[in-house]
Amino acid sequence: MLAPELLSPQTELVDCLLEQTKNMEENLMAISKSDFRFALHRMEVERIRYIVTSYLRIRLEKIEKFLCYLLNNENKRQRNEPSLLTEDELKFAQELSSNTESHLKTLGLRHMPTNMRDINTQKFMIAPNRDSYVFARVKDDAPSVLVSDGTSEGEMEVELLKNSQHLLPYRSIASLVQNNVVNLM
Amino acid sequence: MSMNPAQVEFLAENQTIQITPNFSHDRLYLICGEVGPFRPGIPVQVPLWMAINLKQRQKCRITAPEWMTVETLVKIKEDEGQSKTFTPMPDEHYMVTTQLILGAAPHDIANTDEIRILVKDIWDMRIAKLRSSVDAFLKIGGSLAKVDHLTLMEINTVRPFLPHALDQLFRLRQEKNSTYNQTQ
Repeated sequence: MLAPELLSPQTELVDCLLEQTKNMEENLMAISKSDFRFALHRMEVERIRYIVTSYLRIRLEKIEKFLCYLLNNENKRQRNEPSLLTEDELKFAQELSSNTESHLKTLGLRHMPTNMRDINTQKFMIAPNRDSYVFARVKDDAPSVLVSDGTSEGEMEVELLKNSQHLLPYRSIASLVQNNVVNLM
Repeated sequence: MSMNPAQVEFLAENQTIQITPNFSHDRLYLICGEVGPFRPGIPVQVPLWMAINLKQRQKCRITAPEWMTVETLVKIKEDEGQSKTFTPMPDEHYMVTTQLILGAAPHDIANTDEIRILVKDIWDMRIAKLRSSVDAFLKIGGSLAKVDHLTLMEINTVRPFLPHALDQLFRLRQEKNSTYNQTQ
């Protein structure tokens, strides 16, 4: 939720949690409702379900926002690089893109003069702002990073000691976030 | 990209806290781990959301966390008043935990009114410090900050304004830089 760009999908975690909740729900169907344990297990299942659904929902929001950029990256990606989108998400993105295109064509473009009927996807592209400021907490000692302030001379070095918290541009710590050395707050 | 207070509260509810149940039950095998077994009068550690729920069903007494006493909070308040920077808080979610526990179990905790007032004072002090340091930070045009010992709820009070303002300043500096380089 806090990162300005789409991060790599945690598919194993999501699948594992969904399976656990499914098993738990099946167990819950078996025992009676007045059993004391029922409410507590039910609450936990609801909490886990809330986290998983809001995680997936946020991913979909980001996919909708950065649609052209992500599809472009996906096309340029090499065979061995991992994708940022799961299979279902990729299908969603491709369908959304083609639906938007055909919608715009049927709605307006076919009424335009012939030389103006193209959709320039480059102009649609919204790239994520990796210089966006975020709050970060350092989990383990990490080597210091260089932080730019937008000008070419203004670069500062920031020490990343364990348990320290910082407010800085996302770009400087993007790789550390991917490796889970730094957490966003 | 910001969290609303309900989401911060949700995260805080995952903390463990000690309760004394008044019923007997075997170990519970939750997805997140084991809890129990429950025996009347024997303290046991449970997640905060479970403790609140059990209390509302009158099945337990909640034990206050170690830091939730008048003496500890007075000391914390003094330290916070004397320090120019933020002092470490005993609990990452002190505000949420206090409100949840004092709301659900006021009779299990001693001196609830005093504790409520002390926590509120500490919160007000820290928020005032945060506001004035944000003000100073923006005035000198700083571009990064160390925010040790700030808790999530406090950070949330300046979202989305502060990161968004810094983004704009960053963009303006970038533009100024590139036009400057072009005119050279």
